[in-house]
Amino acid sequence: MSFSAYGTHFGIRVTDPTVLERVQQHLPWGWEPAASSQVDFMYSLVAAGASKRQGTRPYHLLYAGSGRIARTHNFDELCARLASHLELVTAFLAKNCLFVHAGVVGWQGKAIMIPGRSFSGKTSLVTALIKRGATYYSDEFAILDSQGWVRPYPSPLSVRDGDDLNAKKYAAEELGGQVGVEPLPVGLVVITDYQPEAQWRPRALSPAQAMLALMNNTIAALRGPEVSIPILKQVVLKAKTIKSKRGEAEEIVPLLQKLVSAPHR
Amino acid sequence: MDYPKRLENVYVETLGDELCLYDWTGQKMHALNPTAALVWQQCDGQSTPAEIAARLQPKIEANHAEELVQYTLKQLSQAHLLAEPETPPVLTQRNLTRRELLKMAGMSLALLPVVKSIELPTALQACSANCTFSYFVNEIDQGKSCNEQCTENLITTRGELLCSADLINDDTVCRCTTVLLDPTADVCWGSDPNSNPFPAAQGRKNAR
Repeated sequence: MSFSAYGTHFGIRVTDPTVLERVQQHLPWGWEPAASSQVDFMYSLVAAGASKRQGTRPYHLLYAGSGRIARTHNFDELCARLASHLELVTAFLAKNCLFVHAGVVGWQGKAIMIPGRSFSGKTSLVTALIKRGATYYSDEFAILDSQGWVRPYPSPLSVRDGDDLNAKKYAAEELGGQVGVEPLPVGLVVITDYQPEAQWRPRALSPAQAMLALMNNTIAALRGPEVSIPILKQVVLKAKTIKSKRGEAEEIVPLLQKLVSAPHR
Repeated sequence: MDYPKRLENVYVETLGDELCLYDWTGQKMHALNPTAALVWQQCDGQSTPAEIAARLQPKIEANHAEELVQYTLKQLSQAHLLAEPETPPVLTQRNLTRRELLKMAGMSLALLPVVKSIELPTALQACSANCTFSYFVNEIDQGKSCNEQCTENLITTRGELLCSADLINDDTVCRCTTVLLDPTADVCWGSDPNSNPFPAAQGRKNAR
């Protein structure tokens, strides 16, 4: 099968066509079937058949190009590996848009963007904002178009429960939220880390400092400046950027909503 | 540093009075505040710090512009934003500290040069995905722990090994998962360099 996602064409070939239906459930958000067999990136999936020798069990194998990226007896694990690889390649090679690792919600026609690495508390802040009426745009990536506006990437939220490292997936609707549809201009960029008992003391960042903070979470940062800087520039010149450690997410949600609604400069 | 010269192989983006510099070779990005940006732009390799200070005097309105330029050159040099020589500039007997400069020049804090830098993240560093590599040891040696058996069959040492005994189709196997610490590792993307979609940035000519 061949498909495209954010301008990159992928092909997946399988030894057993019956697994294709399961594979399709793991394709990246926004994928579309492609008619052309010309692809930028080819995966090969060798599904384990019946064992030919007694006492042995064949593996499921997954290749990206000619490099093997998974070898396992567990087909679900192989699909998870494929999904993770596909998502990353899509984000890295995306054309005409830029993937920034960030949570995003919409509020009164503007987007609040919360860039940050894993375990920085993005999801808990996004969840708290949704519960206070914000529209869900993304829990994983801010997809910025050439104008610096955010497009929705509403994959299910990965909510970690306490110290449990395994996240559970929730649709925004399950948390009482609505999913955004239209692209939004970024009104507020929030650089924050969760720290228990931390005081919320936001300070404004200059455009250059904001650019640095966004680039630090840009998937295609190493592809070159012409890919990322023109898009990030649109964001940092038009949006307010603030930075602070934070305590509980619920405490700062009203402040963020007020800030994004206030006129800029 | 008699004639400081700015680094050539960088992409320059102007943001108001500030500059963002994308350094291909060092795979870093730098943010320069207005003072640092002014000084860096004047480093043409043909002007001395005193000449640069004289040119900037009307713009920065500091009583001790030359000391300020020297201090800024030191910051820029430490961030590797100046071409050779890399030794910090020395005009006075010793380099001024930030506090001494403020005291001597009586200038405001906002006038001090600030250079902030980050290392450009790889795709994996910038996102949540862990690069994990799993394998199984099927023929369990009952005399050894799962951890020992995974270690004996280790595929790569470039990561954190997590081991557990699993029951798969009534067979006990050791599940050995390596969470790779180096996200660009070949074992993660396959041994064929063409299958690695995240090559390191190549040095290029000045883009602007």
